[in-house]
Amino acid sequence: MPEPDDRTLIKRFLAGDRDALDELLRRYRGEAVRIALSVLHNEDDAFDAAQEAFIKVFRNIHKFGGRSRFSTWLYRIVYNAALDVARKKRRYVNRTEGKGEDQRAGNPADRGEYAPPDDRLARSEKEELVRRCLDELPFKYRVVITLKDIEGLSYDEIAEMLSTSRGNVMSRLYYGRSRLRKMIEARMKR
Amino acid sequence: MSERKPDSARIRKLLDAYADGELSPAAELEVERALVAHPELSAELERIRELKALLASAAPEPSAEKLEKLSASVAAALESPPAASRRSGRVPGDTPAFRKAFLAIAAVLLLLLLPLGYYSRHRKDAPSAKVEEVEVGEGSGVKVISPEGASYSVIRITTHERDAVSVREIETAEGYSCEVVEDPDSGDAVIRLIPPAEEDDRKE
Repeated sequence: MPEPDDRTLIKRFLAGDRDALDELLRRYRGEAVRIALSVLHNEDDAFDAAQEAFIKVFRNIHKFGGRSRFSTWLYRIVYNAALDVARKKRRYVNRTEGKGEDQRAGNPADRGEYAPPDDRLARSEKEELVRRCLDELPFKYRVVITLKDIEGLSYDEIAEMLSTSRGNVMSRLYYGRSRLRKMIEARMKR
Repeated sequence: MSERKPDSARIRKLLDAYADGELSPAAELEVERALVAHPELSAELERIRELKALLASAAPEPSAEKLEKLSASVAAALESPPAASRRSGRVPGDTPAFRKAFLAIAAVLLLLLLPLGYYSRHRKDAPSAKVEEVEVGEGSGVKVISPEGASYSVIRITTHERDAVSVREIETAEGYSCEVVEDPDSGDAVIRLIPPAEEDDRKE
């Protein structure tokens, strides 16, 4: 039996179906936390931002007109909630464009920032390296790469989320991935 | 050789979008022809695909336990009335009296901001509101801020062209809306509130 689509679940939620809420949360909570993480670098803050966003979304879900996908609408609110947390905590990372790709030093875990749990043995060293390098990319690149390559959003969806143009998304992906590749290659040579 | 460089640079910039399946059929054809003519571009494309695959597999996985707690917290918050968040001062009330007071205070704030060049366009018709654009690198997020400093939740942004200018309309969860007009020359975004009367006019 096929899973109900988002619109069906939203209708059921509006009709008071608690299971529909659980299903929508289960479907999108991981992505929401990852998007918040790409802004915040801190797991606890990312969970807080995701929680805040979900509450706003479900309290205002009657205003969701369905012109875009539910996920795009949700991610946009998550992204804004994360920016809000960042603003409150002054957790702006790599704010200045083009002034060095790593304005921080050392291991993120050493700074109390987000580090993936180390209990997943299957992860290769290369994946860890990619994650670390992505974490150190300037914000504007890190976000679009996360949205495209990890969350699988289209250019149009990313442009809508970030209030920018499709051409800008394309450009950021090009420069961001080029920079990321150079960082990875440089570290693999060490 | 120097004549081929600009094309090569252009194609390289298109390769990422090609790997993402985001090019138009014409641009896709252009890239495919270049891939046949220049084997080094094929190697470049392969590197992009490898990186994409690595990124997909390297996604951080938040712990299942914390995700369950997140679901439970959201469900619990939704079961309590939304007024709770208003009491905390995060979302101001939306009574007509409050709105009047808000717009009056916001008008003063706006007038204070104008001399600072905060609104470089649409000055003569900029209505009352304090709107703030939070910049984080180039990934700017638009925020609508109340006089108390609480931020309204942007729930929808739609983009369309008006007189060849990109205009983004922003709707907030609390009922206010505003728009961002992008200057095609400078790329600067200018934000202004859309008053209800103007909104009605535009709908007609």
